[in-house]
Amino acid sequence: MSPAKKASNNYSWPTRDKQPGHETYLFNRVAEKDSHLLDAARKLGAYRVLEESLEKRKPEEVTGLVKDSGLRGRGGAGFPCGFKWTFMPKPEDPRPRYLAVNADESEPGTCKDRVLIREDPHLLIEGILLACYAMQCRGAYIFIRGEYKNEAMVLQKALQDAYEAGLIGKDILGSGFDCDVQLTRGAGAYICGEETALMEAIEGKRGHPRPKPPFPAGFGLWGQPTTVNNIETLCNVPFIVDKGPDWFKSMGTEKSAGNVLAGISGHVKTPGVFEVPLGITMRELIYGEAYGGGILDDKELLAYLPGGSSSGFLPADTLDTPLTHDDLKDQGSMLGTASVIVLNETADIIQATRIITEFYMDESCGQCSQCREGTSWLSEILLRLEQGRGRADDIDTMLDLCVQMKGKTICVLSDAAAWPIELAIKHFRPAFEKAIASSATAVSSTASPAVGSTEGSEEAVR
Amino acid sequence: MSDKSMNTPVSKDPLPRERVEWWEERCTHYPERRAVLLPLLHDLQEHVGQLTKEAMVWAARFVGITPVEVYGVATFYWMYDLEERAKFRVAVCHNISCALRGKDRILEVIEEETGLKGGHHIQSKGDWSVRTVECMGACSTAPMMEINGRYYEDLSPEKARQVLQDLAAGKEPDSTTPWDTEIRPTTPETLPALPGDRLAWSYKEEQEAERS
Repeated sequence: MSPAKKASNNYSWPTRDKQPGHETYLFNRVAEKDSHLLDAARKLGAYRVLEESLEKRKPEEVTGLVKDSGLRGRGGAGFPCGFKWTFMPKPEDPRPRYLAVNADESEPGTCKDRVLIREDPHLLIEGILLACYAMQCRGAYIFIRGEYKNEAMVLQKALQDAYEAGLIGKDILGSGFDCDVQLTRGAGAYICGEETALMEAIEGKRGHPRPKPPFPAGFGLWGQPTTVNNIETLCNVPFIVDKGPDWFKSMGTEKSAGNVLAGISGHVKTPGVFEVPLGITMRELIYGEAYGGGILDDKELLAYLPGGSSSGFLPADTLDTPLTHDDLKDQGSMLGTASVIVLNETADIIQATRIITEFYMDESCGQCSQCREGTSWLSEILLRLEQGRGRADDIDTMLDLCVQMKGKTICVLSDAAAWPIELAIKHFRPAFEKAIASSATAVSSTASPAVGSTEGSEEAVR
Repeated sequence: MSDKSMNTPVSKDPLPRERVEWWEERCTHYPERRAVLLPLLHDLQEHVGQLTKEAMVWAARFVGITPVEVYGVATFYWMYDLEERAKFRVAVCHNISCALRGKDRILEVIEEETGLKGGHHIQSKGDWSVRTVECMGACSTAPMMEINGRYYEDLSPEKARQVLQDLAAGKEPDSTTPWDTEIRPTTPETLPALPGDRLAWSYKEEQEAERS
């Protein structure tokens, strides 16, 4: 199965042409020809809302609309976006304000922002400018992950075209509002998706998260008030400002309004990125014809991760959970980036947990010892379980380590590494116990491998 | 790197004159010159072929920080190569989505074609270097590999083999990164410059105004 390709630019296009049975907005322009170019995008309605807003809406009105809509951040934490904007200092504060745009989409399983940047960068720029207008920011700094070289080129071209058309820069569209938008390309570090590490990286430093408080709204980029927003969150803004909060709340659920970009990957028949209303059940997302299309090779579902690797494994009996922030939280998981990774019965839950934990070990910035040491030890324990060298107290050791790692570090990477292990043990304890039982003879006599050594453990999951 | 070696005099700019001027202009868009460091190191790496000591010392002087700070940044991010780079640099994602969709079969093909077994540490032989990396953001089109900044997605072992053979034969294989963008192994990374006169403000102007 190969993804349908857009004739215009030959980019792979991971969604299909099937008409979903619900209202869409984020992806409407994406499927059109040349949607990444300014002229085509403007013909399809790009920058219309910005033009209207600069003309007739006050900045507070824009903030108010976003606040009333109940839009929650799409970057993982799900913090109400309009509420976050109100944390910025009052207009009397003479300090410059900045918007930092988080395009460092590195959560395993997540590839939604990439589609938006590549296919509809002008929607993003419009969202950025509206956010800057609402908060009266003098500049926006986009941080895109280093791996997205192609996307960085597309976005830079879009920025340049927008500058030349007078959409960014001094006196935007004759309104007297000045705003500058700059793009920084990173060089590959998951931690730069954390908001304070992102700011460090924009400033040209190692991506080390800063302790909070002070929060970015008080002390952000170069010590000035800053708001950090995700790409998808900002892409929602033009539609909310245009059609109003009531329209936005008509989609999704009461506490999780709107549509979300759900990426489905792993053992499904038709992986891709889909625009779905929040509140859709996991079952429909994984088995629905318009979405995942069912489990690969018609096998049984073993587990799935509902929102990227940090969200943890959920078993098949939770499939009727709606895709919302609160329902997934009740399951001990989280919506995260709404990137569903599906494992069928051929997958090994211990190996899958080990792969995820090694990711956190690799990406830990090394500032806090709980995270730096904890992720290494967890990887090592999981590796020896996988290789049949488990010890009787391994489960307890891991759970103990997880407790020590949660809520004790500068950023939440440490917590994010602990959650999937806790959930895996909670729901799949028999698999872990079986692994320990079958390796009972090998206990303690075998030397454990050096921490960080992953060579020789690269067997297939399937 | 010893202090002494970091004092290496840099006899000439590692970048062509017009690039240096372009970076000078970029610096005026940020409150601190240091903010251009990450993209500047990318540019240096593409021009010089790797991040040499000289290039890092030059970058430190250019943005006004100490060489060891540049070294700290260069070693924090995996995309900077302090060692000599191979002509074709293959990176295969080994994270969960790609693992579930069969990245091991892709690694087998790569080993057959290049003789290199992909692992966490970079390995090179002849024109090729191979390593496995963490999630590259192509999860819905897994498995994937990246060669010299270009993505090859939704791979089957046959497709992966074709890509490697085409590259070795000097052809342009089917990639999800269009070949008409400027990411070629032989040309430097060039992000087009933004037109300066349209900018909302420049910190340089602001600082000059403050002084006067």
